[in-house]
Amino acid sequence: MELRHLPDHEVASLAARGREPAFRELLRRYQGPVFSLVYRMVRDRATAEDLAQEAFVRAFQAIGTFDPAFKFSSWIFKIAHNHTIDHLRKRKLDTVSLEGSPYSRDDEDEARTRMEVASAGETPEQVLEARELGSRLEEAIGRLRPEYRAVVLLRHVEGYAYDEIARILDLPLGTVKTFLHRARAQLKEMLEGVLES
Amino acid sequence: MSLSPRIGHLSPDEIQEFLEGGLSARQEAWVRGHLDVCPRCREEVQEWQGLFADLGGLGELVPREGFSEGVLARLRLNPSSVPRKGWWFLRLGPRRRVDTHLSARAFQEYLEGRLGRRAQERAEAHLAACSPCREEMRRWRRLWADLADLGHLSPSPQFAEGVLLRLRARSAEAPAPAPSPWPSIVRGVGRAQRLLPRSPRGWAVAGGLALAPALVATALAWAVFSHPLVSVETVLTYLLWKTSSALAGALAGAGGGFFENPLVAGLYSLFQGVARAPWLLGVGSFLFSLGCAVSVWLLYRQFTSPRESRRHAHVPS
Repeated sequence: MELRHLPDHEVASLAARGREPAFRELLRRYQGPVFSLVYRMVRDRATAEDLAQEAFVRAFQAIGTFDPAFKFSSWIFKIAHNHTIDHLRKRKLDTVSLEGSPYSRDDEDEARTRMEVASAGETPEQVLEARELGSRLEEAIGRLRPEYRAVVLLRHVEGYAYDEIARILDLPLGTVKTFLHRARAQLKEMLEGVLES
Repeated sequence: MSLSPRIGHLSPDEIQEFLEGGLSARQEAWVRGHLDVCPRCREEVQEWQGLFADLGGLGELVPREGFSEGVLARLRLNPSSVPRKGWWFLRLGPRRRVDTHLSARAFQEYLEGRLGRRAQERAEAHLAACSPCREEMRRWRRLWADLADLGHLSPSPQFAEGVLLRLRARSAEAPAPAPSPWPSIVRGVGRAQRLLPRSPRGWAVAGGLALAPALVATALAWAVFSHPLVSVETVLTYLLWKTSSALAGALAGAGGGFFENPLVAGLYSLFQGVARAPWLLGVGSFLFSLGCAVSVWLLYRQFTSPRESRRHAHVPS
């Protein structure tokens, strides 16, 4: 049977037996979501790739201890989030803008690391509007505290339920609710002008 | 508030505590000493003093005439809003809805579908009647839609290869475990260790399982030794005699029916002795049943209720 059609836990158990195609399949499934979360947390593509790759390596090295009773996606997100938060704590990098990487050494480097936001518009006006809104939203998310950023992204981008977010972030359910409410209230306040239109 | 001598300036919290007289004498003396030598903090304190003075000078605003009458008239219209004296359970009843705008939390709970049926109906009724809240809801919906449109961002095409390369490099770096001179013993110890309980609850289950036979053995010993003709010495003599005769019988290859077997006959006579004290047998049976019940309950709890360590996936640090 093709790996593509197997559920996560079966692919993970094949990976635990050292099957490289299983590792590739898990990467194919989760590299996008994990990279997106980390990228939006650190706002630097190179750092995000490094952190996300490291999270996958750690997960794959410990794949033998993965309990199939749990979701693989929650497990990998938990590892990636913990690793990213450790990095942010070390760097004290809480908020950055979309203007470019905070690690950039010169203008060229800054331009290279500038945030790219895809748009879903059709007409040039809609493309411009979507780009502007996306940029503003991404910028607003970047200005949130890392804990708030994580809950918003896990809820709205990944679509996790509150209790699953609580498990991933190792937080009490009530704290997750509070973080979400505060984060969205702050986003709304930051985007007040955009949401009016 | 902890305020210890250090290099730096006073924080806004410390200045406010100082101006409100919330510091201890020692802390206040330290702040005063600091203010004597720090012009920046002196300026800061003056600004805060100005704000405090402005706030203190706000004064009281007088309501329009007829305000009190208006309040009393509303009270007459809504008698349930008057706090009633009496027993707390007499005051229980449907709470009145306060007709204010929806809170930010209520908007979010509504959009997440997390409000209860009645709360949702109330919110919908309020939204139908309140245009500012409708407008606010429109903004919240827009935020929801924008967040939903965020989507995933793609890593570089070499991302997966990079992970696998790192993984191979780490595997090559990791030293292979040294072979043991006694692999079968190591395997046996490993298997035995896997059988050991790994949590206090596991030990409780093992204890519960061990309890039942221990209780039965105790009850039997009590039943046997409480007999006036039975002592440790006589029991040992009896067991020795029975064992030797059973062995002799076995060695001689003596046939005969099951009940004529000396070992079976010996056990039968032993239980006959126990049966002479039926109430002790009853107590033993009760304790055995109790022990079994406790064991079964512990097993049930062990396998059905989640443990802290089972709720979350193991995550390597």
